[in-house]
Order: sequence, then C-alpha cells, then structure tokens
Amino acid sequence: MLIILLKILVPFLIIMQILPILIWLERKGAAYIQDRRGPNRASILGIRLGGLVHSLSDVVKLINKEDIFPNHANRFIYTLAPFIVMAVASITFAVIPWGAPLELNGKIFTLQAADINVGLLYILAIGSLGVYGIMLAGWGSNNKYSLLGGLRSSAQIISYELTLALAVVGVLIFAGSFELNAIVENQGANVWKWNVIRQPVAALLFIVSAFAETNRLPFDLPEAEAELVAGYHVEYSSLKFALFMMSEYVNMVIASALMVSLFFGGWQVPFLSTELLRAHAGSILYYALFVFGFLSILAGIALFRKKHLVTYRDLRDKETKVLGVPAVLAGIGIIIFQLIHGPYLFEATGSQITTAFFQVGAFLLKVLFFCWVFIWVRWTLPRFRYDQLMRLGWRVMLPLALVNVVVTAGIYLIL
Amino acid sequence: MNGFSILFYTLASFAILSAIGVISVRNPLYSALSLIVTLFSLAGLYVTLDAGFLAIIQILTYAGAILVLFIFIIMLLNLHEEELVEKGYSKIMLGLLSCLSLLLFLALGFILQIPRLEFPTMLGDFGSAHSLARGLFTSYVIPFEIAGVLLTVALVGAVLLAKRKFL
Repeated sequence: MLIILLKILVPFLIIMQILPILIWLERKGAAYIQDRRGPNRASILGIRLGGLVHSLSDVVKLINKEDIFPNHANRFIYTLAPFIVMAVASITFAVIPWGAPLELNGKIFTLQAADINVGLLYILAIGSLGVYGIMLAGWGSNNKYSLLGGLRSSAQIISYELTLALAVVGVLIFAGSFELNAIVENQGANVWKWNVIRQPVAALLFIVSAFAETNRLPFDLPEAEAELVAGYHVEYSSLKFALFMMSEYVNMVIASALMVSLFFGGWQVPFLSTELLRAHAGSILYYALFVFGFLSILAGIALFRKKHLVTYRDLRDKETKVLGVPAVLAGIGIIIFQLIHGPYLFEATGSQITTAFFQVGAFLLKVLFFCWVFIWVRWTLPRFRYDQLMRLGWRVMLPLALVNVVVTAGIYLIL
Repeated sequence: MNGFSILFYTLASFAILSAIGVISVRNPLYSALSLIVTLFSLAGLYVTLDAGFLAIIQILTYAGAILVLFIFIIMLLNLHEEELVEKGYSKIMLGLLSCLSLLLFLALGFILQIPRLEFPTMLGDFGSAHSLARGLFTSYVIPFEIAGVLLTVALVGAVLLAKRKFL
C-alpha cells in the first residue's frame, strides 16, 4: 500500500519540480536566442540563481491575483475546464517507466505507477482527452477569441492524433507489446538498436505531431497571440491561468518522456545494459562520483572568477562567491571521501538500487534534453497558417505514416 | 458486498444517471458532456470484465475523437434554448414505448434465468490485444473487412453530399 502510494506520488512530485526549471529554461533560452539577458532581477538575500528565483515570485504573483469571472460566461464549464486540462495532463504519467524493474527479496518492483498491458494506448487515449479542457475553456469564456481557439484546438488535435498513433505502429511491430517497459527493453542499451535508428521516419513524424498535440509553436494556433490574443485562456486569471500554464509544461514533459521511451531507449543508459550496470555498480558509481566532484570544482572556480559587469552595492555582488566557494569545497570533499573509502562493493540489493538511480538519472536527462528541443524550436520557427497546418497534417504526414507502417511490416515479414 | 461489486454498482449507476442526463438536459453541450461520462463509466465496466483493450479503445475512439467532433459541431452552431423546437410525440405513444422497453428488459432477465442456456467460458487471455487481433484477422476477417468497406463508403458518401452544390 505504501509502495503504491510512493509510486503515484514520487513521479508527480518530480514533474512538479521540473516545471519551474522548465519555465526558467524557456525564459533564459528565449532570451539568449534573441540576444538578451533574460530574467535576472528577483532575488532572495541576494541569491538569484541566474533567474531561477523568478519562478518562485511567479507563483506568489499568480496566487495573489484576482480571480475574475467574465460576464455571461458559463460558470460551471468555465471553472471545470482548467481542472480537466491539469488532471488529464498529470494522470498520463502513470504508465511511463522510470527504470528497469527491481528484484528485492524475491519481489519484483516496477518503477512505474501502473504496469498495465495496454500502456501505450492508455497514453494515447488519455492524452486525447486534454482537448476537452481547451474546448470547454474556449466555449465557457463567452469570448470570440477563446471560442476560435477552442475550435482550432479540437480540429488540430484530431488531425494530428492519427499521425501520432500511426507513427507508433512501427515501434509496436518491433516490440510486439503495448507495454512501455517492454518497448524500452526491446531497444536495449546499444544506441544503434534504438528505435530512432530503426524507425527514423516514425520518430520524425512522432516528434512533429507531438508538437501539434501539445499546442507548442510552430503549431500553437489555439493560442496564437498575434491573431487570437491568447486563444482559449484569454479570459482566465489567477490560479486558473496557472493551471493552464502548468498543464502546458506537464504536457511537454510527457511528450518528451514518450519520445524518449519510444524512440530513444527510455531509461537505458547508452551502451551500459542493466546487467552490466548491476555487475559493476560499485566501480561505476566510484568513477561517476569522481567526475562529479571534478565538475563541481570546475564550476565553482568558474563562478568564483566570474567578472561582474555591474556592481549593485548590496548582497547580490557576493552571490557568485557564496555559490562558488561551497561548490569547490563540496567537490574537494567528494574526491577526498572517494580516495579514503576506495571503490565500493555492493550486495545484490545495493547494486540494483544504484543501477535504478543511474537509469532514472539517464531518463530524466534525456527528457530534459527533449524539453529543451521544444523550447529551442519554439523560439526559432515561425507559426504555421491554419490551412498550411491542415495540409501538412492530412496530405503529408498521414500518408507518410501509412507508408511507414506498410514498409515496416513488409521488412519485418521478410527478415 | 466486496470491492468488486462496489466498483460495479458505482460505475453502473454513473452510466445510467449520465445516460438519463444525455436525454433530459436541455443544453446540447451538457448533453454531450454527460455522454462522455457515460462512455467513461462503460469503459470502466469493460475493465471490470477483463477487457482492458476494449475499454481503452472505447475511450480513444468515442471519447477522444467522436465526441470531440460532436462538441465541435455544437460549438459551431452555438444553439440557444429558444431555437430548439420541441418535437411533439403524443403522450400515449411515449407511455406505450416505455411499457414496451420495460417488458423487453423483464423478458431479458427471464431468459437469462433459464438454466439450459449455457454461455461459453472465456479463454485465459480474453480481452487482450493478441486474442482480439487473432479473432479479427482469422475467423472474422470477412465481416471485419466488410465493416471497413462500409465505413469507407459512408465517408465517400458524406464528402459527396457535402461537396454538392445546392442551387
């Protein structure tokens, strides 16, 4: 019972911790792509963490804003919509595997909340429900821009869902199962056997339609700010708006996690299979900690020596010293500790847990990378026009996906 | 009453209540929303019957695609209550129809009571994607393909009707 509760809570909390980092990454990434400095003002006792504190002040701001009901809006539907969006976004994560199943005391623990045998279909099914929140928000706000946003969103998501589902078929043929864990295990640790190499067309189609499904640029027509103000959430304020904003980022994390699980080996550490990791867990941890300590020292020195362009004449001037010195000390501490204690030797349980940490870490790093791709694309490409979007979806991507399914099935039959 | 039957009765009552909502609510959007709740409770019932694949497909196609189109149309038309004209059925007709349906339900219950009627036992992997696909593509391949052709014909017909110029 406790384990089930942990399995449900821990992934949810991890995602909630990723969100502020993603928002920070989006702002800083946008700033550097546009040759600006980005957020760097909010501080707690002079600590700014390069703008990360802004996410915290955002939360405080959103909680304190007035919660506005527009006149003639449908109160019930207007309130329901953000909850649907957020609930749908957060229950999708239940079937994403975070690591190889653990075998402790003869019991098998899977590192995913629900190990159901139609996992992939579950994600597609639940993911397609998010559009209700957007449509109801658009309709319930009683605003023409919102309504147009909601209508666009429904048409767009239905069109691209087909490509999304068909792109996965090739992967399913290889794995022979709907279970995400089986799909990840089928790809193995060898990078050349990952589905992105075996199914390059499907990977591309999946990534493009995932962009459309998450309403991110270049497919963010439901909220196109140049023509629809902000689309479906133009009338929302305070925490209801916060829910929409959070769900956008949760959807991004889920889309990235799906891409990683389906095409980029999921929790597999590149070239280090689960057996290899378990056999040499101690020594791998030993070397990994050495690298970590070394990097920490380097980062600390870099922070310490950083030249200030401006002097603020307050606590902010000392921020780089306050962060840099502990980083150097921690790095030195880790290396000395390593040298004293030598290579680690783990029992079966210890090596499995260490392996799980490595795999969860690899998974999170890959997911963060794809989240960065989402941000990168958003600030690089312009938005599609609506007819271009539909033409791309129905006349290019759908036929390509169908051809890909036929070709993959044919090759699989011959081999 | 174990957990399983609690689950069953909860889902069943949700399904019935929301189905009543579909036909009794005046706002077409609320009607479509209660249809979604019905479909979800039915999917839950499928899961309790060990047919997880069917449940997911039900949500994927009906709740995920078809109902989205329903709501799309309702939003586009943006009907108001005064625009909805009430269709007159005579009260005697309605009474007769409800009596008939009640009779049919009772008859169904009676038939199920007959001990001679034996239902085939399910196989071990009933409801999984594998067994479903094996059935669809071996013993029932012709009905399956005919259904596919029928749907295509309906699609082509709809496009043709939509493209016809009304002068």
